[in-house]
Amino acid sequence: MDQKSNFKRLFGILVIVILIMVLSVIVLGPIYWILLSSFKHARELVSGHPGLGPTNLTLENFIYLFQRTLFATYLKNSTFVTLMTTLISVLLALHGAYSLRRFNFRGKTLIERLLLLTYMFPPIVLIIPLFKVLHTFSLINNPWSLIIVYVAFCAPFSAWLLESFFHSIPLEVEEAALMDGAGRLRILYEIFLPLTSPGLLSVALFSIIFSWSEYMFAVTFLMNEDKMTLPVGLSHFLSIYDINWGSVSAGAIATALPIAILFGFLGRIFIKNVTQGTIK
Amino acid sequence: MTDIKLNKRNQKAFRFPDELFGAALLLPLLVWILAIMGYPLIATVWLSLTNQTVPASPAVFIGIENYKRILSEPDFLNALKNSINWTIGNTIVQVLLGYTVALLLNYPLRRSRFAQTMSIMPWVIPTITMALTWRWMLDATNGVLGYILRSLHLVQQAPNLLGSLGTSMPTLIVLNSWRWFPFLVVIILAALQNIPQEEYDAATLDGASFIRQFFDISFPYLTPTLLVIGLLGTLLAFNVFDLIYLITRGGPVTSTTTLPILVYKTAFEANRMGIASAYAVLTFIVMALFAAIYIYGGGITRWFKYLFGREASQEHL
Repeated sequence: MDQKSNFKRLFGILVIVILIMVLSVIVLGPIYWILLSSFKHARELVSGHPGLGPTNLTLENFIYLFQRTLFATYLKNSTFVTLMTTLISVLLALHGAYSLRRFNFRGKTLIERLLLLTYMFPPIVLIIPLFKVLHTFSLINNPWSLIIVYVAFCAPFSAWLLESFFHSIPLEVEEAALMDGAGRLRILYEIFLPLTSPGLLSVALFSIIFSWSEYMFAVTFLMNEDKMTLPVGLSHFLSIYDINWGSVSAGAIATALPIAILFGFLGRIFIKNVTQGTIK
Repeated sequence: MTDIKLNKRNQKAFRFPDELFGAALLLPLLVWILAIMGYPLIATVWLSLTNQTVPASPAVFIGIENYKRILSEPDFLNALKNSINWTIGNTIVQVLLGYTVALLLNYPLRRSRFAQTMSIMPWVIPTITMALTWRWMLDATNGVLGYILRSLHLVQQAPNLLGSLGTSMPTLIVLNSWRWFPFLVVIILAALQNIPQEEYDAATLDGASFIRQFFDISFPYLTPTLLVIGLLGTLLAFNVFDLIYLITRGGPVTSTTTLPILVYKTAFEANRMGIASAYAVLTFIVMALFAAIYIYGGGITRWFKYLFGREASQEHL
């Protein structure tokens, strides 16, 4: 009897372990293959029988990427757009969320709902008039055209996330400072701000991920090769007839790397805040 | 509870003269939203009533001609059908995967941060990276998937999953779900961890089976979270443009042309902005309907409760 239930338990554990292994292959397999491809000779990849293990590795794809393509330019453009978007979004969200949390005024609930709704708003509905307006003001091919649009998608959701994050920050310190006659802005920047850094970090990460990967607006607003961001520039690697899969893989990896590294360091804070926000 | 208390004190401490200051802090954000989202929304409606072609050309008001035209052509209905298949397909695949994996991970990896970080990784990876990866793995001549299948003698010829009419849409749904289901796992895991262990212990004492415990304890607790995530996920899936456009461009033929793809191609490839705007307005309406079903389907919760005959879990629903 006892042996039988022991066997049953062991069998259960075995099934779970096998399922987790299968899942790991499904989740990690594609990442493994693109990573491996980026370090393999382009000839081997299209030879009909590429090695599936890490053999004959080379850096030629990355050298090609930086020397023979405009990848470095795309990288620079993406960095600029991402940094500016994040900076502006975090500033707008911080002030907005602080206002929603600490002040009472009419229409507050409505505004909070609006902030969340913008996150689900279909970008495709906006793109035609935005393109028309940007065209009129000759902002096509200008990175700022992307930044102002990205901020509109990042800042409201960030403010919403921050607002729920602010729930956990006690009011006492600020009240004490107010009694002492400190100015409103000073309270916000010198007392409130330091307490909110984990929240700010996660909304910054949200903006970074969004602007680093955004494709639709970027491919529409940027036409000159020297202005393109990474997703747009890389997508052109596929439009040539004889695709160099080695450099495509290298480009894919090099684009994901900065975000992956950043996330490796800050990811836990992000997961904690986002899941808490959603469950509330 | 504490929040309500704080809010009341909050009212006392920060009173009227500061209302203006509060509004001033919020104003830039609101202006930004109105300029970049509010104005274009209205402008799209206006453009949909004109014969606008390229942006520089003059637009002449033509009433509802565009709508008459697109509703009499098959393109819109085809894209609508694709969008519905895409959205529902994604929701089903992701919820099933997310649920299964979360329950699986809940036991061995209950508190593993590594598992959490790993499972959110696919979402962090830029779409372009994944699009290039899929194009490469599923490439008809040199793709590794076909290579593995051939090596194992499962197929004679590598299947062209993305290039065939029948398989392009299901394949894209699987690829998109690969990306999003880990996110669901993380959220379901977090929700699972809020369920008091005593409920399971009591059920085990009563001799309830694992499956019974799932439906009687886990499921009712998870339902509210799943509904919220379901809404978010459905709308986000509906909006997906980049992955589809980068992988199939809406093809082969129009088999993966969802509504966002149709709007985009009509506006920027066919240069018919008036008609594209009419598509966009209809897309917006379809999406609002999706959202309304969820929001006013608060009845859904009650329906689930009825379905699983739960009275005891009332307070969680």
